[in-house]
Amino acid sequence: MSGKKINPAPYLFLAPAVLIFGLFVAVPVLGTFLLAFTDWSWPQPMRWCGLANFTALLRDDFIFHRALANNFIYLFLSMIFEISTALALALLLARRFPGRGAFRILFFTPMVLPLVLVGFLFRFILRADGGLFNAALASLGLPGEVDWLVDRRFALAAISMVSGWIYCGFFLVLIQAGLGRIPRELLEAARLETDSAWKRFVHVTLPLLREVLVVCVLLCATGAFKAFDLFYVLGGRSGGPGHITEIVPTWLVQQAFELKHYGYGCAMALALTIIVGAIAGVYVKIAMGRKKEAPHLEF
Amino acid sequence: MPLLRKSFRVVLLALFLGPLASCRRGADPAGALSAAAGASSAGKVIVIAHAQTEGRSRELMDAMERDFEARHAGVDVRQIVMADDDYEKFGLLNLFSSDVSPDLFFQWSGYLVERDARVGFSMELSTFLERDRFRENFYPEVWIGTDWEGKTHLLPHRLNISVAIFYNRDLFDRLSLRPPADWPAFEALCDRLRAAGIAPIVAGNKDLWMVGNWAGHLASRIAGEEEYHAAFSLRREHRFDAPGWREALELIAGLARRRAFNPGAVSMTEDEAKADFLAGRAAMIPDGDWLNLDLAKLASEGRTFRYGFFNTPPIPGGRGSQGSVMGVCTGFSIGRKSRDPELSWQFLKEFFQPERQKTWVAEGAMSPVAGTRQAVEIPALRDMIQLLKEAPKVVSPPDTGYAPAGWMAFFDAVQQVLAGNRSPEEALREAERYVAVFEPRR
Amino acid sequence: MTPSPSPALSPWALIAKAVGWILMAGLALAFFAPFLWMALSAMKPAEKIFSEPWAPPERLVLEPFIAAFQEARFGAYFWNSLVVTAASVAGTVLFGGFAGYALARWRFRGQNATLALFLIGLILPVQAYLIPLRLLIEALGLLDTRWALIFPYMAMELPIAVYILRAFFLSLPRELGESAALDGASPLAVFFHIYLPLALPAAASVAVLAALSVWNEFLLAFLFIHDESLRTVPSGLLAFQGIHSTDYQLLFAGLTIVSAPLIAVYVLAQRFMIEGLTAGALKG
Repeated sequence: MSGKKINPAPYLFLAPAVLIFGLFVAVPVLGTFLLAFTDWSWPQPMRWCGLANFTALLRDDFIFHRALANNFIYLFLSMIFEISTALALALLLARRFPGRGAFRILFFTPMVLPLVLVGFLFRFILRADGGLFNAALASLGLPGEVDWLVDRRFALAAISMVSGWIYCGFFLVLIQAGLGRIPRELLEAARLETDSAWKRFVHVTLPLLREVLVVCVLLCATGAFKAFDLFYVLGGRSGGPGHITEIVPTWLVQQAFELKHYGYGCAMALALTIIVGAIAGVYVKIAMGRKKEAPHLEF
Repeated sequence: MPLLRKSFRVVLLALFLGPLASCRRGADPAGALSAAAGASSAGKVIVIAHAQTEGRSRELMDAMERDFEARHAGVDVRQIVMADDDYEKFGLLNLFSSDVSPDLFFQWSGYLVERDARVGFSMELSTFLERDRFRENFYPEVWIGTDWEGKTHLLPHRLNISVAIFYNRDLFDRLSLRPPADWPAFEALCDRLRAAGIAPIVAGNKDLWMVGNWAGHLASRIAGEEEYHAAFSLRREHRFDAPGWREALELIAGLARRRAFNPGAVSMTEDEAKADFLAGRAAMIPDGDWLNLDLAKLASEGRTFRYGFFNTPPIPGGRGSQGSVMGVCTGFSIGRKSRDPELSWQFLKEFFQPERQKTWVAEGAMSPVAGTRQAVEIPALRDMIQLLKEAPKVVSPPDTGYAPAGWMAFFDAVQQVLAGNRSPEEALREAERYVAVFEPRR
Repeated sequence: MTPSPSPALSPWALIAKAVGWILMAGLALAFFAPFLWMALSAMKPAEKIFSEPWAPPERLVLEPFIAAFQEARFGAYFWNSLVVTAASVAGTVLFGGFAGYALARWRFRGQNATLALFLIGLILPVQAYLIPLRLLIEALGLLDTRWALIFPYMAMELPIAVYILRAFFLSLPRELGESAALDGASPLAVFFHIYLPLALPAAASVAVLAALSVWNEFLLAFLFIHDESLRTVPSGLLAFQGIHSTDYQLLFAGLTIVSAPLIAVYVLAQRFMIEGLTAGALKG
């Protein structure tokens, strides 16, 4: 070990990536850890304050609690709107028919656009007065004067629906990839077993899609806690009336950047990171466990 | 094939190195400034940051830049312009924490002027004002929220009435309506409009201040100016969940209940509401005097729009002054880190000449500069100047007059009531809870 | 009765198929309606956009789009986005390629730690480093320069790039470079002449992935750039909307202008883009 000559090549090759990532991500992450234990709030000077930020966050900040709850509701709704829709579309598109490829391309389109743009577009669509959505309801004979994005009953669902419109194409492609990996013989065999398409889906297709679905759920769940753009554009200033569309990332930006509560913002950032990390951890663990059970399905 | 490989490498490098050359070039004025600052012999630079992105006020600035550069050889005037929301939330603070700290900057009177003075952004101007007897250049009643610890830090450039109820004269005439004498009369007026199939009020409260300011004005009328001031200043024993505040929000809730507001009032922006009012789709709009500028523009395009305005109607039994006006001014400060305070002061002196300010007063703005009022041609504006001049009390709008925690809590309560999501009582209890968590009363 | 691969369909099955296809087409149309509405509304007079949301424009016109392009600084926004995207993608591919190559080619001390570092980077939400990053950018004097975006974007895209490219280099036979190395070629030459050209497909999907997320990134662009002349498309769009918030025709034209090139590129290279965008997810 001591006499061995160290080959400098790998270190030199790694240097630029590690330096850039280190300086602009890793060091700031450490900064978040440190600042989370200070009461730094511009323009006051910075002081250590121990766990005060965290007790405030967990005990007192009822808007953070609301934002967190909203985040979980959004997570739940976006799973329905994104993954379930994608699954349904994938099954519809599994049959052979003309233009099948075109549909897949079409559903993926919103993925390539800036979320801000989609947000503005849907702000117009979901408008109370003359919005396309209300106009569509009206033409179906339903009374439509709902202001979708500020009504406490519908606002989160409306944003989740937009998010479903954007991401279902993405999950569709993932699920199609998963379907493509299912051996044909297995499906043929199942067809002999039962005539019920629903039974075949539940007992054969779904279990075989498990790993793809785990990936989808993981992406959807961490995505829900990283969301910002859509909520910023659709949710309105300070998260809608009564913070009904406030989520942790938007609340963080308001606290840290509008109000300059850097220390408190960092504590919230830390909490968010722990949540995202925990979700990622849980699903990685599940995915690993499942892999051992079903070794014939390799990714 | 080797050609392909080679060109791939070249492209990769070129893409990466390309912006090295162009990164700063686009960074005008910041980039140009540091270049100019490096070669100080090339002349002096005055950086002015403001939020006048377009229209007459922007033209005024551009003309000032040209004239000042022409009159002072070797001086380079640079404007940093941002949209006002961005300017207020992030932009100005960014400038102060970057190396382009401005010599002159735009600001709202009240809390922000105090803050700038306290943290050392702005310079006291009293010495300059006394030395050059420049205070006489302004009308005497305009120094509201411009001082900190007895020293002036802001030269007012524009007076504003934050809330007035503008009305469409044609629609009023159709039902032979007149501006109401008090709040019950106002409610009756809304009912009559609604019954006639005319939308009574259009509001756009997406950014919270439009109805928020109005509700604040109502609260000051009912609870009294002292209570209003104390509650927003977050003093102990002065709370938003007290009866006066609740009554104020009950008035807003009452309007919402009688469907006086447009269905999109909660989510529309002020601009959208304004557009609806100007298109004749609603009879009234609660907005600031800046609406005069839009109306003047409309007139200059040859469209006749007959309109009038009235102050927030008196509220029977209210403890505050029932003739009070909600008002604010905006103006300019000199940065404490200014590279040349004397030259910046010179800039302000030339900028605040009546002849120069008259040009845009004619377009519909209220100027604090003495000698500009004769130039006002718009009748409504003349009336507004009179209203402000004779107002027994001038109340600061919450969002420019006070620290954020208080008004954010209050504005959110107003928005919840407007949306019908909460009762006034619940909404204000939550506002008080917000204050207790984020900026406990002292 | 056994299912046969391509039998002559019974009339009922044919009808069922047709109905299914029509349903699917209807669904697709509803899905695409927002885009159509956006482009068509841009050609309608502003007062008709919300009063008659269904009415098609009287004729197809180009003027609103030209007006929007001139009125708002879309030229500048596109240019800024282009510069920022080009620089950060080039940096990501180049440095990610270097790092992925190093991690695949050699065994060395600190290898696992480096891998773990980038793995953490894969799941870290941007909020985990956002606030200190803002302060760092400020301290480095990069606020309101394009570097304020280029460096963080590279740092954000590097982990996925490293992972994808490392996996690709691992799949290449080690012997490839060895003969060249024996001939005295430097490691850099081996990388550029032998490995990188082979890795073009993987590099391309990394580039697509990075380019789209950089082009569309909003949060940092919104927080770090306040100089109008340096805004990228997403934050420029916000400013544009703020200034022209009631000029609906102009707004819709602006939204169309921003989406048109993206949709065009997507239609031309859809296979490539779908693969690029989902590549990261399935490897994760």
